[in-house]
Amino acid sequence: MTFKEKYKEELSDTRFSENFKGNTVSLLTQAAERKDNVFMTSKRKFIKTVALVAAIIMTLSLSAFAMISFLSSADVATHFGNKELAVLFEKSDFEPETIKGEDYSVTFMGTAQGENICEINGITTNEGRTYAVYAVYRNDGTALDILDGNPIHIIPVSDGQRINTLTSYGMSASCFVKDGILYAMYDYTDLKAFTDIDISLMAFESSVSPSKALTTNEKGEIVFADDYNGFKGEFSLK
Amino acid sequence: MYSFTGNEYIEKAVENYSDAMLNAAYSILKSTADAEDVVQEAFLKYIRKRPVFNSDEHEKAWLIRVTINTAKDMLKSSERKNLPICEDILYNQIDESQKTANSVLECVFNLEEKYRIIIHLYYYEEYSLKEIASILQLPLATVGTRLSRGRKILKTMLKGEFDL
Repeated sequence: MTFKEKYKEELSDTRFSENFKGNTVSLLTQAAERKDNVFMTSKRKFIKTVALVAAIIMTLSLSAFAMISFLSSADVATHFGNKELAVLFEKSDFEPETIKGEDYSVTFMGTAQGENICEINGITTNEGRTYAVYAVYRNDGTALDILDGNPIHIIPVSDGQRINTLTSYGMSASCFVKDGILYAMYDYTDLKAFTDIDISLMAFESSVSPSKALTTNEKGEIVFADDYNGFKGEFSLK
Repeated sequence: MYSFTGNEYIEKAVENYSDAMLNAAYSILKSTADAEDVVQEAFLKYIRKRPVFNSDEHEKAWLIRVTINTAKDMLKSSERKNLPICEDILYNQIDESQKTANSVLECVFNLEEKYRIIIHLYYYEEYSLKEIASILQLPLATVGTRLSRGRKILKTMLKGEFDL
């Protein structure tokens, strides 16, 4: 028997509480329901707001797009309880950039990186990280719902590398919806550390895997696949 | 990526990942009760953050990473800092029910935490060094060095009984 087999055998014999899984599901379900109730309250408020805004739009004959008011990237960081990151966003002179697709628009709101940006996603890190904030909204003005998840996924890529090279260093995203707009804060590896390559942030529909939405052409460039027909967005990391 | 509709994702996550999370936490904390607390805390972070994942493997790695960090936080907590912790004392705190003669688990638990978690992820979860580096957010070379040193210490402890 090898060490690995013996270690697995002995660790597998460890006895945890019999009802651990059931109790944990129960605990988490209650926590999720409390969280959802908060969202539902926000949703009801949002519906009233939408009705009011629609009336104003009809009156003033303004486009829904013109009426959109975003949170700032610092607001988004603050929402996730990361004051250090909010300060970095506030100091940034980043110019937001919007890409409009058929159904959705995505606004790249800001990016920040550095060491010791403190805790995010439950992970305290001293490693360099890059954070990026995006706003996603429907072009027809209907609200996004957090329960439907983030419809757009945004990953860093670099020509000449494999599609998943930069994401393989680890990434995660946290989302919330306010006034029908979904705000996503992505936590990437320290992208600025890759000084010798140009990095793009490719946005595509999250129902499609990166390997289906993206492909590598004959020049080694990472581009959208010919047979992918969803949202296509490419932001450059400035 | 998962759509967070209903609570099915909770049951799925607990069913699919809680064993790996419990074992990772146990390998750090050496206490089944503490490991259970840590895993529930990690799942609560999962509920609160609702992160977006590329795949099941990405989701599992994220949950293990949060579990490990939460377990390390527990180790660092003031309550534990006040205890006269040293490896020999911790060894005696291993759940008695888990101890067996010539236990490989005992030997792993006698390693320093920084070697122990890497040995666990490498041999139990069968992650590659690159994957471990990503989960622990450590340089690849550091992971390789710690694995090598951990194995060397284990070989001495096990007196060549097992191939590492």
